Amino acid sequence: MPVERILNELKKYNKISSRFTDWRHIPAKSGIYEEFPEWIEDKLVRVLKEKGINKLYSHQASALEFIRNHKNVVVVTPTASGKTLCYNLPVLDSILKDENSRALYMFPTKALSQDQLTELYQLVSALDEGIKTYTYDGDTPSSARQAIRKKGHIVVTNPDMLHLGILPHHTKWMDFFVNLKYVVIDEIHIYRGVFGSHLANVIRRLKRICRFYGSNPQFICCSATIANPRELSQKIVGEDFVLVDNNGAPQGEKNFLFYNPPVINKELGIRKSLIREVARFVAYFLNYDIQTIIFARSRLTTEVLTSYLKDFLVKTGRSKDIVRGYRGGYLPGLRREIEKGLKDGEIKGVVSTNALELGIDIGQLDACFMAGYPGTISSTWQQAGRAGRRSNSSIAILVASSNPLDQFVINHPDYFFGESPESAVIDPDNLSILVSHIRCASFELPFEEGEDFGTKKLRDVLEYLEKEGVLHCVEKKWYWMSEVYPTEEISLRSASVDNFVIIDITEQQEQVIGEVDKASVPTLIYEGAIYLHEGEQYAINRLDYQNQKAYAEKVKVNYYTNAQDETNIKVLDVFDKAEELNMEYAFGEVAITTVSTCYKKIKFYTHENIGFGEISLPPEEMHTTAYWLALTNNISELLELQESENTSFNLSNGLLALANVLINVVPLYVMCDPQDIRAVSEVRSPFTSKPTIYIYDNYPGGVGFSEKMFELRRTLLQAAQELILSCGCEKGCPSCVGPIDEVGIKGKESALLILRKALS
Amino acid sequence: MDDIKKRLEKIAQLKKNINKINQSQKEKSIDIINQEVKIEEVVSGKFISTPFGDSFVRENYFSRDYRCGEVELFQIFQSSAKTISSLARDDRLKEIDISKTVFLDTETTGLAGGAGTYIFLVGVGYFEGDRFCVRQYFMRDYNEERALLSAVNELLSNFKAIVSYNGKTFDFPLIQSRFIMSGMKLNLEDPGHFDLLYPARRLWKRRLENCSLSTVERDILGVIRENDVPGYLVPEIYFRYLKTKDARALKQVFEHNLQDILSLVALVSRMCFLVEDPLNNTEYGMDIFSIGKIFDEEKRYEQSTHYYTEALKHNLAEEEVLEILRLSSFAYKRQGKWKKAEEIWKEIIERSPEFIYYPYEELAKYYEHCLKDYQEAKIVVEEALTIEENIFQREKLQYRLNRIKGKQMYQAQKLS
Repeated sequence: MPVERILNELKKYNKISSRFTDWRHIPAKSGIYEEFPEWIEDKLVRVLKEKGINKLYSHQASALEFIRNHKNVVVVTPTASGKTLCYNLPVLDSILKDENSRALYMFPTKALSQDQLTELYQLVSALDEGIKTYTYDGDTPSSARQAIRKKGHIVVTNPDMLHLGILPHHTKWMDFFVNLKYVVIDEIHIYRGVFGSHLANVIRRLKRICRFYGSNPQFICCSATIANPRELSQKIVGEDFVLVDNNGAPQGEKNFLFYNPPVINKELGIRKSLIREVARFVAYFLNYDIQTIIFARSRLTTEVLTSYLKDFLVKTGRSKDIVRGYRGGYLPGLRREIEKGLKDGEIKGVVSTNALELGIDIGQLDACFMAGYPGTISSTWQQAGRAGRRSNSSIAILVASSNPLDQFVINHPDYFFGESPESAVIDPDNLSILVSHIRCASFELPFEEGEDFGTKKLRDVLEYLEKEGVLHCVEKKWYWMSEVYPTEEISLRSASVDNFVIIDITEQQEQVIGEVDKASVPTLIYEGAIYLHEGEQYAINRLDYQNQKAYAEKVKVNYYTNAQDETNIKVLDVFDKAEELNMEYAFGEVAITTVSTCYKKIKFYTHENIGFGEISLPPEEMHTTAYWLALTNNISELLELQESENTSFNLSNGLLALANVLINVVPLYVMCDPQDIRAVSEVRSPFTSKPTIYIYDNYPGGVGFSEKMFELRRTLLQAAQELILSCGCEKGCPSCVGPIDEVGIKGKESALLILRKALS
Repeated sequence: MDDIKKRLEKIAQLKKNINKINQSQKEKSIDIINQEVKIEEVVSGKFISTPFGDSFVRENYFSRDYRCGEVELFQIFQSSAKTISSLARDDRLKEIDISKTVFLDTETTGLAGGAGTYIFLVGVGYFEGDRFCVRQYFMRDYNEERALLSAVNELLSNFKAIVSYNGKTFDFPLIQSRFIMSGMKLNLEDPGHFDLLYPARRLWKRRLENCSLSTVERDILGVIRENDVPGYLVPEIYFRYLKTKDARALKQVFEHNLQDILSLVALVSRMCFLVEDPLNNTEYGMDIFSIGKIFDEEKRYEQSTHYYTEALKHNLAEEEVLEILRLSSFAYKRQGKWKKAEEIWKEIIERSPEFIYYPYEELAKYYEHCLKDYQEAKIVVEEALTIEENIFQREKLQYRLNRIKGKQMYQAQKLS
């Protein structure tokens, strides 16, 4: 087998094998099977057997049994272990038994729902019982919508559409809600932090509407491996769940390798380029026709890697089409084509952003490269899981970049293999989010006194909204009293859905080749940028910011471009402040400005900088709330301490280290995801004129984390201190203050010193 | 729990600050005088009792000779069911009986629809012997919704068809939605529904600035409203009333709703007259053009070409003339009146200030495929190819030319 041969060669070749910092074998595992339970309709069993599914895996059988006993179920098993059957089977069975039965499927993205529908559609057409399955999302033509509402047995949608398009118009869905038996939430691990808190409230609204129509659907959820799938499901749905994780799918032998590129400049500690190392590896794999997926951390890296691999194929006389790029921004048709090519085996290599980390069906591949640590343990396992055949060996290789976190993980493999994956934290009662959804729920159905919304805060919020004049209370019922649609003002996601399109004007016939979300404009499609698309280069000639269009022309140049941006924080208003011991604390409103000022032209392969260009774009501004803490000691005093002999104190290292610890600690106390907040530390902040750490809500308008941080300021610092003291590392690690390469050798000590000053 | 409220207020303050920075709040210009004035003190009406409590209703009667603008309400009885059903493009209306028809308009708490949009005023007009009657059911507060719906339901059960303006997409679905939300059943399943918005658009969108009911009634019926309240202010007026219990501003809303219903009646007659006898019922060439287009869409080409020809007798803008010529050339083509069509295509080429591709193509097709006159076809295509502005169709034309030449050669060979 080619994979085994390659493994042997890698081991033999000393120069390379010495750079592997770890090499784990995950032994093959045979499948555990069970017969189809008798209560499943014969017809369904027959269709499955025709498709070659003769038995169930143990986890599928367990899930079915729990579902039959009216339990809510969350299934956690690896990629491609037949998770979808855990819900498709009971749902289809219920429709066969009762033609009126309805089910709602929810996927986090439109791309995923399309994909799931294809699979479901095969089953349904083989059954030939007139079961209707539809997607209902922003792309559904309005002419088709009525038929879907009336006739769809299974409606596939996403949380945004449920929030915006379905719940506010529930009367049009009466027949559907009256008969709703199952709600399926796939990839539930995606709903963490603010996004998850939003979803939990959308589900509260959904359940309320179901109650109105007299139905009480059962929930089936699927999750990737995280620390707390059952708890997360229970919090999102507000009901009890059974965890099913007795994976019975067979698994070929797996090899998980950690690779650190060699140091090429000892003085500066510069390592060989990650992109070139990965390209070289993959080229080697392609020679053996090993189907490989490469995960890159950014869209730019994805495209550069794709170009390199295509160049390589052309040089060796092979078709460049056997390697493709894949990322958000490709048009749906192109994505389908690539997915199909991967399943057929026509495409041998795909370079992707984390877009392919989720359950899009591309079959199982032989090898997986991660060009850079994906950032979380959970994502890493998920990406590695893309490689893995049922019977043959597979290989997953993590290649580290020179970024401190990557270097830490690659040099401490036990840290990675020993830690449990991250927990998904949500707070459905986050006041700001809760209020938004109580507004929506009031629009959907007036609240009655004593009604249950899964939170003790309901009554207070209703009275508050009444006082604000949005609700009108009469005979102990709260009615919506506004012309505006509350749902339209509330986005479940932080990123705006505004997209810019990229138009190729090389030919007379203009053609849209891709799209980019608004936030990425300053880094991807500024005038002068080389926009890479499937390995082709396009120069952005003109950016029409107002009409959200970028005009591009095909070019052939020897460089790509990389924008330099900077983020500034400006305090607009202070809501509250306090001074305690050697610190002052405050929270208030801030403006976060991100602006791209210039770009570098970077030569392909050598990665040398061969020029600059200016970017003139309006800065992206976000108003949000921030919490900050500043050291009240005289700066010169601190700097003196830093200069003194034998000191282990460094102010900027200490601030950075403390900011890092806080980012690790805060989510547990304010119940958010680390991605929901951001920290900035400044040795001399223009606003406070003191050494300051800012932590802000990474959402326009803020979601109340800053205020909570301010209230919990002492608790947070104590927790930070405890965390550092109890961490077994010597000078710093990602679990506490961050890796040494980032916070410096004095970071940990300095952070502790600052904490002592603040707490003693 | 005070804690929560305090925090909510803080958040609200923050949101306000942000709003201030992002956009200046729209000012709403309704003055507030806090004085409770009941609805029955403002409009004369009565309370009718329903199983769900009382509902307020105002009744107005209009005699046989009452005019809405230039149109007598009772003229509607001269409209034929056939015309109505064809205007509505709804076969169910072929049997429409005006005395079994309701004219419906609602006032609501929002224009976007959705489950949180309530109907607070339902206006229903109908003919009753010698008079036209309008009943307006009003909800004094949200808790009277069932009473209102129940009263409306009782009345509607006597009727078989609805006339509305945009009621198919707005008023009627909203009524259905309100019945569902109240757990009640509407006594009017799937009625014939004549929504005047669609024929109004077909008839007048080319001539009027827009096709809102107020524009149409002003420009077509000659209705002049005094002190009318614009539709977009209606929800705010109702909310004000709910908050202040001062019903005075609602009087205007009642009048607005009443006028809408009278206009519906007049508009039906006006539309029917216009399509039944266009030449005697309008002085506008554009109206006649629109009627030709309606016949065109119904595939009644003889009538459509007739009205296109009539429309062209009026003084119209050149671009409209070209559009009418285009449509009528195709209508002739579909009738097989090729000579007429040919004439018009040539005229279009003649008149048109810039290059237009289709008449050349049509002529070439006609000569090549119908007449098999390859020489003539060749001349047309060659002429099109000499025109410099013609960049995009060159390839297509060249292909056609080659084929025609081939046929010509084949024909010549056969002859020799």
